[in-house]
Amino acid sequence: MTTAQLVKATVRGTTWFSTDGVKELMRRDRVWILPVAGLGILVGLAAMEFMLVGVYRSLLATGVGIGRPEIVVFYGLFLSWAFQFVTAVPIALSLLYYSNDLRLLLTMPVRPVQIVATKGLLLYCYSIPIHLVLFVPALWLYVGAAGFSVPLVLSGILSLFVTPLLPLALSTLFVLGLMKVVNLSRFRVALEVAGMALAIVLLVGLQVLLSRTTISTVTGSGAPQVLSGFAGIFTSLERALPPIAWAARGFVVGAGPAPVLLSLLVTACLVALVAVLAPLNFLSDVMERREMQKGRSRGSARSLAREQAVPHGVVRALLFREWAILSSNSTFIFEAVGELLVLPLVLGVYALIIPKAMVSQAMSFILAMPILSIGLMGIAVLMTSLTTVSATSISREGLRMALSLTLPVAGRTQARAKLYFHLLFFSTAYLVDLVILWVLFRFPAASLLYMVPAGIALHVVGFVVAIFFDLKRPLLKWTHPQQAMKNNMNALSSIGSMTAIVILLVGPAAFWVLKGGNPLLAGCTVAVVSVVLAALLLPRLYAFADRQYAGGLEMDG
Amino acid sequence: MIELENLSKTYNKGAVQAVKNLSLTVEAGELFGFLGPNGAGKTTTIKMIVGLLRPDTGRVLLNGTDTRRDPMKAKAILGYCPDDPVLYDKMTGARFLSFIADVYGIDGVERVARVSRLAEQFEMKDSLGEAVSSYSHGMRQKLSLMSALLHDPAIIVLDEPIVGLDPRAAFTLKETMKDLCARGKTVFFSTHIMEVAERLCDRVGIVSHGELVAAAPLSELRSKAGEKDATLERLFLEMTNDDSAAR
Repeated sequence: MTTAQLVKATVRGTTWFSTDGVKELMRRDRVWILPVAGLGILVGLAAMEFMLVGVYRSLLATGVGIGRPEIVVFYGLFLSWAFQFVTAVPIALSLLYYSNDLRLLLTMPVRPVQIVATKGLLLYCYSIPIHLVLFVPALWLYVGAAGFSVPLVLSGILSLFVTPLLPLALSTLFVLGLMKVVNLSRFRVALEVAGMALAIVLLVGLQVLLSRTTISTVTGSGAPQVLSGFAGIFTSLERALPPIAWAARGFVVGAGPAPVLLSLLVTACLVALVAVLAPLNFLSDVMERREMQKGRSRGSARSLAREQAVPHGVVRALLFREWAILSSNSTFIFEAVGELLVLPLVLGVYALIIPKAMVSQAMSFILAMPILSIGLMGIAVLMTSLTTVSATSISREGLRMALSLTLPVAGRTQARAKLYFHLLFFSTAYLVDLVILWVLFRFPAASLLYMVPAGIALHVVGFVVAIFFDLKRPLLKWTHPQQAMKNNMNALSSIGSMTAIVILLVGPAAFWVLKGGNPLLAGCTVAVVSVVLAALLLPRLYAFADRQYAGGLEMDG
Repeated sequence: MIELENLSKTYNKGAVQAVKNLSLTVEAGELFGFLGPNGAGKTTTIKMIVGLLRPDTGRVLLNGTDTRRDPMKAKAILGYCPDDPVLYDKMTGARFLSFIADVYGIDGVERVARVSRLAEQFEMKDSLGEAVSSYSHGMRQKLSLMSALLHDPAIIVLDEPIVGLDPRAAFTLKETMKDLCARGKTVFFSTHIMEVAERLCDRVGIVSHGELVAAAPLSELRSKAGEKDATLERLFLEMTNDDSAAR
C-alpha cells in the first residue's frame, strides 16, 4: 500500500470530504449542511480577513515609516507560525497516537514511516488553511506596496506552501518529546485544553499589540516615539526568531538568495529530523501509550465503596452524567468554558486594546444613557445565552443515547436534569457577569430586582429553544467531537432564535425607556414577560421530551 | 413475557425492508435464542423490543405492557445489553453502576450487595475503580451485562452477549442466563454461535431477510426438517439458504 493510498483511505474513512461522505449526508437528509457550513465559513473568513487587513495595513504603514516594509510579512509569518505551532500540537498528538484507525493500521502490512508520513500529510492539510488565512492578507498588502518581482514570487510560493512545514515539524518534535516524558494518557485532555487556550491567548495578545500600535499610529499621539519603539521591538523579535526573519528578508528586493536558502535549510533539517525520529519511536510509543491506558490509577477501596453505597436522586445522577459527557472531551470542555467567559473576555480584551483616554470618554457616554441597566441586562443575557452547550446536549451523547433511551426515565426528567445543568452553568455565569458589570458601571442596585429574575427566566427560555432543536433532530453519529458541538447546525439555529428572542423582549423595553418610560417599570415588565414565557414554554418542552424519549427518537443502523 | 405482534420496520424511506410482519411470543422463564445471518433483521427487532426504534406497524408487549403506550413501565422491567457496549467512558465502573442504580432507584444496602455479587460473578471486583475508558472490550461487555442485570429485571434482552467475553465470563453468563430463566425471567438473546444456542435455548427463532422463518424447540425443528440428528448449524444453513433461494 502506498502512502497516497493511505491518505486517500483516511480522508474517505474519517471525513465528509469525499463522494461517500456526501452520499452519507444525503442518506441522512443532511446534505444541506454543506452549503450552510460553507456560508458560515465564508462569513467567518470575511470577518477575520477584514480585521487582519486592517491591522496589517497599519503595520505596513509603520514598516514603511521606519524603512522596513517587510515588517508586515514578518508579522504575518510570526502570527501564522505561532498559531500553527500551538494548534498543531494537539492535532499531531491526536493523529499520531490517538486516532481510531491506528488499531487497523498497526495490523496491516504498512511500515511505520508510511503511517507517520500519512499523518504528517494530514497534519499539513489541516494546518495549511490556517496559514493561508493568516498570511495571505500580509503578502497581498506587501505585494501591493512593493510590486511584483521574481524573487518576491519565489519567496511567496515558498512561504505559502513550504516553510509552514517548519512550525509543524517543531510541533511534531514537541509531541515526540512529550511522549517520552509525560503520561499523556492521563494528561491528554488538559494538554489539549491548554493548547487551545494558549492559541486564544496568542491571538488575543497579538491583536492587543497590533491594535495598540494601530490606534497610536492613527491618533498620531507621539508618532516618532511610537515608531522608534516599534523598530526596537521588531529588531528584538528578528534576533529572537531568525528563521522567520530570514523568510521575511527573502521578500526584500536586493537581499539576495541567502536568507531564503537559510530559511529553507532550517525547514528541511527539521523535517528530516522528524522523518528520522518519528518512525523510529512510533511503534514503541504507541504500544507504551496503550500500556499506560491499561494501567490507569484506581480509586481507593473506601472511595469505591462510598461511590457504590450512596444513593442519589435520578435528577442528580443525570446531572453527574451530563458532566461526565461534557468533560469526556477537550473540545466540549473548551467550548463550554469559552462560552461561560465570553463577557469577561470581551471586556478584558477591550480594556487592553482601547487606550485609557478613549475608555473614560466611552464610560462617561455609557453612564449617561437612560437605558444603562436594561441594556447591560440584555448584553449579559445575550452573552450567557448564545451557547452551544444545551443546543447540542443530546447530540453530544452520540451513540450513548441508546442508554438514555432504554432507561426508565421520562423525557421530562431527562430534560429537567439538562435544564438544571444549563442553569448551574449559565445562570451562575450571568450572576457573575452582573457583578462585574456593577463594579464597572455602577448601575442602580434596584435594577437587580428585575435583572436577576428576568435573566434566569430568559435562560430557561434559552434552554427550551436550545434543547428543542436538539431533541427534534439530534446529530448522534459523529466521528469528531467538533461535529457534535461546534459544527452542529442545532447550535446555530438555537443561537439565532435566542438572539431574536432577547432583542424582541429587551428591545421594546429599551425603546420605551428612551422615550421617557420608567427604567425600573420597563425592566420589571421584561422580567414578568420572561417569567410568563418560561412558564408557558417549559411544560410544552417537557411534553415534547416525553414524546421523544418514549419513541420519537430513533437509534437506527 | 415478550409478545411481538406483526412488527415491521423499513429504512431509507421504505427502500429497505428490515423486518416484515414479525410475530413471536417468548414466555416467562423461557430462554430464547434469536438467530439469523448478518443483516437479517435481528438487531432491528431487538431495538424495537427495547424501544430504540419505533415499529412502522405492529406492537411490542413486555409482560403485557405496550412499549409505546407505557414506555416507562416497560423499560423498568427490562434489562438490555447491546452488541457494542454503551458506557460513559469518563466514569469509573463503580460510578457507572452507581448511576444505573440511582436511575432504577436501588437503595444503598441492596445496591452494594448486588454490585458485589455481580462483580464477583464476572470477576470485575478489581476493575470497578478504573475509568471505563481504560477497559478492554471484554471488560466493557462485562460492565454492560452487570448494568443490565443490576436492577434484577423481569425481561433480559441481550444482543450478541458472548462476543468479546473470555471463556470463563462466557461460561458465567450462560449459567446466569439459565439461572435467570429458572427464576421465571424471560431471556431473549441473539447470537451467531450455533453451539451456544443449541445447548442453551429452550426455543430458537431464525430470522432471514426480515422474516421469522422458524420459532420452535430444536427437536421440533429437526422433526420438521426430517433430520433427526441434524445440528442447529445445519438446520440454520438449510433454512436460510432455502429462504434465499426462494427469493
